[in-house]
Amino acid sequence: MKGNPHRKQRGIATLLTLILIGLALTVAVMSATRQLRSQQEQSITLHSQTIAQARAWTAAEVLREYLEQQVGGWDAFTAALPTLPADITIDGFDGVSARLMAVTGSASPFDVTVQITAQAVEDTRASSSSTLEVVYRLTEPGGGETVQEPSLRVIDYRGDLEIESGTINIISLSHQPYQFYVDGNVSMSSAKISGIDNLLSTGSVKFTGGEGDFKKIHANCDVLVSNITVTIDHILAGRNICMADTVTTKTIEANDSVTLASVYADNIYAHATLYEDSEDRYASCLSDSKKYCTPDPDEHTSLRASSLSEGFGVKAEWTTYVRESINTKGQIGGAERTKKRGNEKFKMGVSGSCSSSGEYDCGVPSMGDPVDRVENRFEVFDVNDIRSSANYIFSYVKGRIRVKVRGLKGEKIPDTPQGDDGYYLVENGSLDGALANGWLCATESTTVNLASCPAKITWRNANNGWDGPVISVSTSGSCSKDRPCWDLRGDAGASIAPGIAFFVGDLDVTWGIYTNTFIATGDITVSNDKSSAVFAPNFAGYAGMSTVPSRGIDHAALGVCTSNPYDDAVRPTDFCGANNTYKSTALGNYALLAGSCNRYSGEGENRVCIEYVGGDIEVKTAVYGTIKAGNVFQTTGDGTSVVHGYISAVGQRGNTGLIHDLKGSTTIYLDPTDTYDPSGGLIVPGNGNGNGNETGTGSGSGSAVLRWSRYL
Amino acid sequence: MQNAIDTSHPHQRGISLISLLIGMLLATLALLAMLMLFRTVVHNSAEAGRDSRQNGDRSLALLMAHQHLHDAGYGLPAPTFATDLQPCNATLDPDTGALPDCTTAAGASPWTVNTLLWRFDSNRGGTPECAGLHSSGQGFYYLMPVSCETSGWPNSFPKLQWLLSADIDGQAPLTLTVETFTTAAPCQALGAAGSGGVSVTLGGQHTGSGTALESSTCLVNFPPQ
Repeated sequence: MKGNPHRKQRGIATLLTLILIGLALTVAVMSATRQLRSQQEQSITLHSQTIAQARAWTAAEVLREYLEQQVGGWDAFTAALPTLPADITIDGFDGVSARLMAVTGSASPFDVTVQITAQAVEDTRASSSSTLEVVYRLTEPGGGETVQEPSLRVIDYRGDLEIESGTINIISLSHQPYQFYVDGNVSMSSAKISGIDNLLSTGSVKFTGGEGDFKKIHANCDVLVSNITVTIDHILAGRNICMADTVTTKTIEANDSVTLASVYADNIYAHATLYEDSEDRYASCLSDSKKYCTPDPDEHTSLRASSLSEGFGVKAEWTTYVRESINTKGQIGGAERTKKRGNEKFKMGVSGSCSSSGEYDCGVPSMGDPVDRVENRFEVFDVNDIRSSANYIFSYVKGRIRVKVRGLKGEKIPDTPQGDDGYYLVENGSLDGALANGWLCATESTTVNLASCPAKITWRNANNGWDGPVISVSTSGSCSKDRPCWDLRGDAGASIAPGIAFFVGDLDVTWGIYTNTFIATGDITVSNDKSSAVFAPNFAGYAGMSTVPSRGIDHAALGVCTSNPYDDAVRPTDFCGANNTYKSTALGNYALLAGSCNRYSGEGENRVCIEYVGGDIEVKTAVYGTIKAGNVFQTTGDGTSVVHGYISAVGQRGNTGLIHDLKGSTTIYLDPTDTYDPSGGLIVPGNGNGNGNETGTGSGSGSAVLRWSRYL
Repeated sequence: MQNAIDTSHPHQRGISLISLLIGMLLATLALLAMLMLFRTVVHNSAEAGRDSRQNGDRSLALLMAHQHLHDAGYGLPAPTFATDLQPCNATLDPDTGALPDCTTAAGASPWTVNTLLWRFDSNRGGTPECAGLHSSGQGFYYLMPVSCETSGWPNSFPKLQWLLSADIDGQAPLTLTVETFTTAAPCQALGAAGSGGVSVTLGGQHTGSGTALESSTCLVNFPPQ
């Protein structure tokens, strides 16, 4: 009986051992299987997530194409947009849903926000989804960025303008109805202005003495005209018009009242609308507008005694001659001083009492629509927005001139990397014992080593075999390290390699002829040295420009792409194309651009500069290109300026009380060349209308572009 | 009957001893073989599982990083490379989130860096936020958004999201490569939509095989230059 239990125990132990080992193996295998399955599921999920993302992006593109088709019928589409259901079905995309989240408006351009959710491998454990939020920007046909019509605002100023004894003469073969636009008040005395059809002001206009051949003067507040002997076809004012001293005109329209003294007119319309405390207020003035037609000892003596009350009508202070009619909803004052201009009696259309005479017959006033407003448009112009377009960026860093380069033809002069201060500009250095200037060098040494100095970008007196410095910089006096003063003293031969040159600081162009677009974060002055000139690259073109006195071209320019003595390596590729072709860029139309903003507040359309720097441009000699000043553009009393392009001054620095003062003589030639557009071509980056062409009425097909996107 | 009973005793004893010894030997050998097999299976399974997990983690980190990257430039009026998207090299303090002196990448596109910072505006017209990615020997981090100015970059990102450990078989940290595109040849998001000016490639190695792993994303919020 003792032996039997032992045999049974051995068998059970073996069996238990095998069972335990089997269980362990089973657990291990199951664990491994489970882990493997888990990894596979993770891998499949990641894969399916990628598939879901791809489907969402594909749906985003399909939706964009759909929207682009819809904007072709802009009016119908924008009308239907508010009624569209939030959930959007995209045919052929199972597992993809889209939801319209927001529409920012209906005026072009506006944004549409859509959330797109795509699922992949649905109804499995590896199912995943991806939600994409996309914002499309929709632009109506013709309202886009690509279709533009020419701007005619040859002179475009923001801030008050004073012209005393200055002369502005527009010369053009195209005979366009050019405009003189001022976002502010205009005061001209003894000024001579010719070649501009329309003078537009968002404030008031006072033109007392001088010569002008405007076809139309239009102001949002008052217009005072006296002592000019030419005809102004049409005078319009948002408030009052007052005229004296043999002014001749055809039509006078004022939303409030008209005062006349020794004036010749065909038709006079005065809506006599109260502009204060009136619900249908047609007549109004901006707070900064000067009210020239209010009795004021500082204004015209003939009109001083006029006690013109608001909503009066028409008042003749001195004898006034009318050819066809006087029309007013108010009353007529000094009717006995109104005389017929010709043999026929004119119509006296007044709402108040009237008695016909040998000069006029009483009648019902024929009032048209009130005078429209001259739009004032806010603009931010900051040259830093176009900094990246420059071929050369000159800055003063730790006592040395540094030059960043971009877009040059030579492989040995690559674009300056981001964050790098660029090449050292060697001035007054040496090369093989001789004086060396204008070299771009990678090292700080003033001894030019051709291995580390890939190109020379300035020449002076090149024709005489002596090479002097062209670019110098100062930080003393009114200049500083943060805002250094640059001085260019080139010559008629070469000066600076053609292209777009950006200067951090103020810039004085003292001597030399340049084929460059000069951009400065501060101010720019072009000296009165008559042998000097600045040519915009597009004006000089591929091979340069010879003098053409009949067109006011009195200087010869270096070609942008054939510019000896410069090396072929410094040709700007933005302008110099293949097969000896020239490529015009919008910026290449400009000769001078100045002004920058150090600090902004707000974003996008609400962006406002709260610390503007520089922006003043003063020209005393010839500039062959468009000019854009961030603050003011000025000519001086002794200067005779010739500008071949539009001029705009944005008035961004100290706008309160800002006055542009034109005292010099400025002749503006506006004939384009094959490569040059005097209006500046496309809009220079900024958020305003710039000095370039108008947008919004072209024939483009509209667009829907993906503006922003993100995953949710 | 007694003889018949006795004949069975010698057979039982011989079989019992030898068979026991042989059986034990065979059992031992079988057990050893099974244990060896078990060990190998368990080891291989563990290694394969670890490789698979690490590859999965890395893929997940890349996926998350790309999703975060798509925030770059969102809601900004004019997203600009270098102003609103900055490739640079910096040292991150994982404990405090301090990221001082992010040195701008030198050279021309493409840039390979260890840090990428970007700006975006979730509310479109609100206060911009700055976020980023950082990859170094300390790990691969998402620098979670903080309020920032319209220019410049914060020196600190207090909240970090640890996307991937750096301690994977001594492998090099993930690389961030940034490339810019021109209007002539912009990139597209997953090759399907948008017209982007910047792409970001995250690079690493597969665990186990050591083969290169690259994953790119096109940032369509940044227009081509």
